[in-house]
Amino acid sequence: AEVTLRLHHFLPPVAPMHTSFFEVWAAELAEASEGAIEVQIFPAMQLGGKPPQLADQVRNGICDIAWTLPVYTPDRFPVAETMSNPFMVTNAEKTSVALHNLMDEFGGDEYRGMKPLAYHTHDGGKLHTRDAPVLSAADLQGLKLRAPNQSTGDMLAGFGAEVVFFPVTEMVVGLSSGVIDGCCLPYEVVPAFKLQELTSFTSEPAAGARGLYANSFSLLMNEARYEGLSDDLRGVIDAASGIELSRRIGKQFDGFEAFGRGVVEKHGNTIEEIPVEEINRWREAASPVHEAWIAKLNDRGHDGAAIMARANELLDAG
Amino acid sequence: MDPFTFSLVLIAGLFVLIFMRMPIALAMAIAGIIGYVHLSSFAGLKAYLSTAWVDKFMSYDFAVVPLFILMGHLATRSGISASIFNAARAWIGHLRGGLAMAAVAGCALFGSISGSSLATASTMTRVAMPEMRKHGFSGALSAGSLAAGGTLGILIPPSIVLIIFALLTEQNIVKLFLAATVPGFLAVVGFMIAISIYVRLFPHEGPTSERATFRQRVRAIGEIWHVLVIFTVVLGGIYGGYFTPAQGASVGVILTLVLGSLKGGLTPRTVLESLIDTAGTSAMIFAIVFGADLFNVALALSRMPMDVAQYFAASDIAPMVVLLAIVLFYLVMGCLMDSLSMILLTVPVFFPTIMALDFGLLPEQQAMWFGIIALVVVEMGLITPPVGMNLFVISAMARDIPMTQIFRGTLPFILAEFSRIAILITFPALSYWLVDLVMN
Amino acid sequence: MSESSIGNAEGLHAPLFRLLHRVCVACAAVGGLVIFGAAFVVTFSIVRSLMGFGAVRGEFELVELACATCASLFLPLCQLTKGHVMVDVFTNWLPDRVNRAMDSIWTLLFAAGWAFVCWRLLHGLSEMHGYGDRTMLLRAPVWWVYVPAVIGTGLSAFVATAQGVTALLPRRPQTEGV
Ligand code: NA
Ligand code: NA
Repeated sequence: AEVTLRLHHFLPPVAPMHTSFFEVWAAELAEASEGAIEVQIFPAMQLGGKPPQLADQVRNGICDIAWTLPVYTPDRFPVAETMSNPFMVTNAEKTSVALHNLMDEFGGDEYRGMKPLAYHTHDGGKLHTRDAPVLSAADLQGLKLRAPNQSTGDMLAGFGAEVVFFPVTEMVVGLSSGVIDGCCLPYEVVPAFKLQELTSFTSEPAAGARGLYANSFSLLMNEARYEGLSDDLRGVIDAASGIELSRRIGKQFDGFEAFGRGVVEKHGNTIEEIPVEEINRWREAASPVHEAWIAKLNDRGHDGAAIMARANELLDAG
Repeated sequence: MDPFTFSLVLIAGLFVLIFMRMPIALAMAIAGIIGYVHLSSFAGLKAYLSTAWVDKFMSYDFAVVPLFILMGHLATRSGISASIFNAARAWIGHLRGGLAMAAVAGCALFGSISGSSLATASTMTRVAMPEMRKHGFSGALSAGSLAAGGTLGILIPPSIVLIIFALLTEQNIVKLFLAATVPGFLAVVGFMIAISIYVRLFPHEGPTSERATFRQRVRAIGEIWHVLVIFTVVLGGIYGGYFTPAQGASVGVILTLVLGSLKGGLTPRTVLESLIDTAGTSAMIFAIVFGADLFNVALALSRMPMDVAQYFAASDIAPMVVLLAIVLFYLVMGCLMDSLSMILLTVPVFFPTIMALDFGLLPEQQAMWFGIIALVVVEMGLITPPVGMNLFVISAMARDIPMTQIFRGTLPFILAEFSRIAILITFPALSYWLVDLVMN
Repeated sequence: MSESSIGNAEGLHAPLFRLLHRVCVACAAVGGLVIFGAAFVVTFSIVRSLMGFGAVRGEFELVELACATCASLFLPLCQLTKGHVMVDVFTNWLPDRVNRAMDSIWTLLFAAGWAFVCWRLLHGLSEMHGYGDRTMLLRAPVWWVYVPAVIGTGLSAFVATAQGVTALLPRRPQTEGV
């Protein structure tokens, strides 16, 4: 191949994102460029470092393409992180498109030195618990929960949950031994951590309600590497990236979600719905978290209120 | 040169450096740096090294390493080791070769609260060696049983080598600890059998000694309640769901401190000495881990491990042949190298290779099985000449026993280990059924 | 552990190495106290939690910060006491002089390695300081933990340089009784 691009990510090579997106996308780039572009995929942080370093790695040229989460480096990419607040997700496809638009409008220089290829989210997180479902805020009282990110943790703590931020490996150990009562994660990660065996109940927002939370992701390329490509090859990359790629990844995550839900169902776990009115009450109660986020965006020189309003508008329109 | 060939040259170069007395951490780092610059760029290396050290060790998982080492050193300094040996001796000391058996049993008990073989070997040598020599045990048998017993430090959980294996392969530490329990117990049995055969062949080398009264036995057990409490709280707490491994290690440190102080062995001075000992051992491990990390990134950049794994997955070589070849490699290298370095050096290549093969096991079972086999084979390197760290430790502490005698005394235990390796390879279930039983 | 050769050469510079020894031990002791402190907080947190008062917030982060700190501060002592493992079976037959020369070259290379890492970590420190990254719960600035890392690697580089240079210096006949 004329150009070899190293793609670095943190998931193990058996993860669906690796097998059904990265490998497929790499093959597509090879085909579209008639073999001129070879994408070498390095899963599981094989090129060293920890997941929070991925954005810096792509900026510094340690790798050429990286897939990363803004929440890993809190406050550094605040516009992209906006969608990681509680109740800022409908489904993965629509939320991904909304995020991409939001970044086009407000996220201008957040990824300086990097060429963003796609922005997306996963589907909304669910509450997976060991002993009882969570159908109202009262059920959260005193529950020891592993939170997926800071703002969601704040929201859950606001309802009286005892929030911990275990790393996932510790979370698996903690859930199996009962150190924690549950976690808040999408179905998509259930098979990887065998959450269906570690928990017995899953509580999901009823159809029509916003999801509890979703982390946002960015697929980034080193800018110098992108600019250094021939016009033809840059065209190949352009055609394989952008808002349509964001939509596509989002859609795939909806597929992963459905698959994970099937695993939970098949294992015989109880799946309960949290009513729309209850979720709306939670959303209301979580407004201090959103206010704090607006203040943070303001601190960083953005118009926080405008970004938040636009994000909600895009989500509701989708 | 294509990256694959380059990676082989890099590995060859690494071994040349290691065999030229270069410290292993440094050799791996240098090979890693050369590989990184060649396969990526110097700018990339500079950027990578600006966070790599902190990134690597700002880690909850790695914290168990210094914590379990500290726990072992505190136990050593608190004088718990002497009571352990005395308890074992009260119960089995009267058998033929009984003191050697008591030394092995003592090592096993001490190993249940120490994660390091060297610590176990040196601690138990200090207490058991003089007693054995006083009662007419030969230098060979005394040294051999202590060298072999010392390996129980990492065979019986907690175990630093298993922790590092779990970190490298993203396996569950709790399950791996549990998986090592049955093989660890087998090791104790094997060593006991080795001793009893040895003393039947050479009766004058391991005489009997006086039988303890029942009262003495009970009192001896009463002297080791500290160990039993620490062991039960730490491992029981981890399996019982009260805490995670790093939390268990923290509790173990505090508990050993409290009980050691009550026992009277721990003073501010000995605690400080334990901290200093911990610093030396941990820094050595951290430095090797860091060097290995650089080297492994260079290997990943060459894509050699992935290519090798893919090759074996696609080839029709029998999986068992591949496994045996790896075991043989470990045995040969174990004669020359230190166990932890070997794990760090080879697992990135061997683990994906093994996992790509079909042994008819679930992936998790296969990972545990390979982890245990690697642990056992690598740990055997501690007692195989010419480079066996346990042999060196004992030789340094018992200057009157010639090295040739130590080698001779270790031989029966090496044979016992060979049979155990054969058993573990033949019956994979031994390495995971307890996990299935307890966790699933 | 490996005594003789460098040990004698160091004898000529005893005051320097006595001072270095004191500094490295102090460094290691601080690192040890940090990890001890972390163990104490974790235990306290578990006891609290078992008694139903809830765990200490940020316990995990504290352990992570402590681990990086002690890993860094433990390094110089290990360098000074030549605690880094090596394989010597293949070279033991060589004359003492040759082995000593090899050891001192490797020690100097070690010094260069630590110095390089130290320089990069200084860069990392200023980068983290610039980003203003903080840990999630304790809101502790991440650059803090780069400070012990710079000290540990820097001191190791200095120790290794002193050892390597001292060992290479021509050995004067020993007059003082060591
Ligand atoms: Na052990
Ligand atoms: Na050996």
